Amino acid sequence: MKHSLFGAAFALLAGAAPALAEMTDIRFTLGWKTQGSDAPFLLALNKGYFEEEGLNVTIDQGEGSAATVTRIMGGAYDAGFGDINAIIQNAAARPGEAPVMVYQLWNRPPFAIVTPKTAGIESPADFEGKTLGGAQGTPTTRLFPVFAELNGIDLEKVAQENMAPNLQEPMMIRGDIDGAFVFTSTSWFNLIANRQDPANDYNWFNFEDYGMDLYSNGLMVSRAMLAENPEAVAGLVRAVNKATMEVAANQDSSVEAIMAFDNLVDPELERARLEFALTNLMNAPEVTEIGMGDLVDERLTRSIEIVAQGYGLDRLPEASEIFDRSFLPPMDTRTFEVTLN
Amino acid sequence: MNMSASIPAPAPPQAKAAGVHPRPALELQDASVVFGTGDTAVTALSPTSIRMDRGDFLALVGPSGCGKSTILKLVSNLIQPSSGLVLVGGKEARAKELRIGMAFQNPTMLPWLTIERNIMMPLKIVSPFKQTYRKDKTGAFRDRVHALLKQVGLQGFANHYPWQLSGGMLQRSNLCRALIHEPDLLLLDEPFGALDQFTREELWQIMQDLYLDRKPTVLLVTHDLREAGYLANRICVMSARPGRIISDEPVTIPQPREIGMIYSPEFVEMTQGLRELIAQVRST
Amino acid sequence: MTDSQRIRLLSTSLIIGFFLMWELLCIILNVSDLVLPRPSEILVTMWTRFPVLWPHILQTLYSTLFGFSLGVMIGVTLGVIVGTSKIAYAVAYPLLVGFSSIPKVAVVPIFVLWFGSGTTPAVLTAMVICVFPIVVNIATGLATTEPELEDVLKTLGASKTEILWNVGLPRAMPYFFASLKVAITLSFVGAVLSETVASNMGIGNVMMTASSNFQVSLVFAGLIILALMGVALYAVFSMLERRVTGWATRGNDIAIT
Repeated sequence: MKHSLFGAAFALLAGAAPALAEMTDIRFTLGWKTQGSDAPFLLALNKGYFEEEGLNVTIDQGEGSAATVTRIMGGAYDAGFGDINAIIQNAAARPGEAPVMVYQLWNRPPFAIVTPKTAGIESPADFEGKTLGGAQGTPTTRLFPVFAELNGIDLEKVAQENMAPNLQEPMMIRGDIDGAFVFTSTSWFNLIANRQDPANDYNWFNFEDYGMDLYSNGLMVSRAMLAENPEAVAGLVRAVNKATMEVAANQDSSVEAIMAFDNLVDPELERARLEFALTNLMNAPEVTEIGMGDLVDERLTRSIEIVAQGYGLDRLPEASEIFDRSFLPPMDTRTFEVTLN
Repeated sequence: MNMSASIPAPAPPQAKAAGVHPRPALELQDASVVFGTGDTAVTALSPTSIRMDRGDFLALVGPSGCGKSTILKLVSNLIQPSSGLVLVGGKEARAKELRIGMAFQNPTMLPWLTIERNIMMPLKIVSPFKQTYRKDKTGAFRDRVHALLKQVGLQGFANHYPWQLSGGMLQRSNLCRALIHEPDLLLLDEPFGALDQFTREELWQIMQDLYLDRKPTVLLVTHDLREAGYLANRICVMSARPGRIISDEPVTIPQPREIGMIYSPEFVEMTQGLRELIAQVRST
Repeated sequence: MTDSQRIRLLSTSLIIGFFLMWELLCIILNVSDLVLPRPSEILVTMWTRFPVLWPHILQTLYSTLFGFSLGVMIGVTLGVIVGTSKIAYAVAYPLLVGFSSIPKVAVVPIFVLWFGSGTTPAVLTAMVICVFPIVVNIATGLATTEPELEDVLKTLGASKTEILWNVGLPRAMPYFFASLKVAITLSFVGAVLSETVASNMGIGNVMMTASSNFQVSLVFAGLIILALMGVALYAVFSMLERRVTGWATRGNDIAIT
């Protein structure tokens, strides 16, 4: 697909396999380091679903769900797994340049504030007078002002500290901060790795329970790819959809695919994380009606308003600028049924 | 200067095998060197004329700062004359085809090369040798080096490094390097100045052997009057700065000369004469 | 026992002692292995997970050496240009200093933005970070070549290029090789830095992944592997320096008397 000249030269020098003549090259970025919830993409890669569609996909680990958007806009990547709210933010400032979501995966938001029960925070009002930690630029941190407004919290009375994502749980455990702005799918398992009991010893303030039913991560593609190679987009979506259905039905092949991609991760941990995603992030009630991959326009429009308010955007992008459903395969191929094994 | 009548008539400098060349090997025509301009100008060399024929061995003696080294630099093309001409082999010193061998007081061997490669260096730079350097560096050129090393008594040291040799040995290597490319002109700038008397006498003898064997044209700058008398067949005395030639006399002692001769009365008389001349010059 | 043997024994003892101390402190103070794992645990991790770690080690080595080679080529070229021309020296120096002052940690995200994550930014970072020391050392070596050495060739009528090739560059070799030791270490740091920001392979990546999953023992294993690799690279180039430029460290520096 679209390579910078240097990028192509260095890819050759670095020994990257040359693209086969008929296949389309696609550079794909994940939303973070390899996680079980990336299974749809890694399975599609491992089982050759991308190849079947004539796509030569290389997958790189990511730097953050919002960073996926900037990586694609910068031109180094053609597609990726990232946050729809970051698309909204960029689409407001640069209409026509931001990537477009073509297959929504996480239809329930992972955004949450987690606090240890010992901090004594039982309701939103209790946040006042406490210290919360978050990584700059992450969606949860940036949307907290909206959370505060919707739930009657005086922002001035909440101290916020900036820290790297993987320091949040240790600092919380030590008591340096009273709570953290996190992703549930990441933090839950970080706490377990730190020998904590996230179910019994921690309170979770999930944004969707407090008036912010935002969408979150999904498959997005660059404007260039949409314009120049819509067949490739369709192929990409088909492959991911096929893999997603398989992931829902059986997670063994997923774990295999994940280990094949990155042999450093713990297979049991990632399986648990995948199951978490399947049962907490991908199973909004609307999915039974519209199928996996699609979303409800009216809910998206509401999200856009929430994000515009939280990020202070100059204009409200249209839902059609953010999401394009024309590449979705027929609904009967998108029936989402989870079987945990 | 006066020479005793018992010393035989001078032998003329021997012409090179190819025949006597009408053009002088080296000629300075009113060449001068002035550093700086205006009030701060320093005259290193007053307009000077010298003429040397092939096979001449000319010694330049004089007090410090008289311009002897300046003449060498003019001839070796390290500096340009402020006025006048410098001709080597009939062509201006600037011309590239001239072959010059030079030995400074400091032997300056390249420390990263063996003695053999050091001595061979001129063959890498100078035509026509440089064209065949790659091929000959392990063959014909190597033989040349070894022959020279033998001549100066350093056989077996070809593969040593400069830091392994004494000062005297390095200076001998230096002489080899100055001669290996069969130069038209050999320039020696106080080459034995840093050595002790015994080593010096040893090297004088070697120098004389080399000279008589190959008959290069040699211009020797020295402050040692005995060295000049022993080696040269002509001695020029220069005045103090701004230097000019005040005496130019042949040395009539036949060659080859015995080293012991430098302590003979006739020799001492000759050098004393030179010394008086220089002393006069220094006091003016 | 010879002096050098004694020194080596003491050195080894110091290192072993350090690790023993670490182990004991962890046991005595009951330090959680999530904060500071014990050396014995780290050793076990390194041993059991070595097959998994090996491809990452090779990747980091590859990025380091590739970036280093490019950096050397560019550094030598620039160094020769800057060292042989006084004008080039004066003109280029401020810019070179400016570039080298930029902390490379700031440059890596830019490379990632342009070229994507992976090997390319690692190689580029390794290259960019090591250029300056090489340029400076070669330029200095060339600029400080004793005129007497050059005169030897000048009197023979050698051209500027011949003088550069036969005198200038060999004379600058000790400076060059000294800078190589520094440069390889910098390249190594640069490659790992890039890997920690954005990559799929390499020890830097291992440490980041292990860190996000709180496999602290693996983080430390990665650290120790990095230390060992750094020392090994430095040692290789030190040895190379001694071999090639032994002439320069001789006590009797004839050329300058």
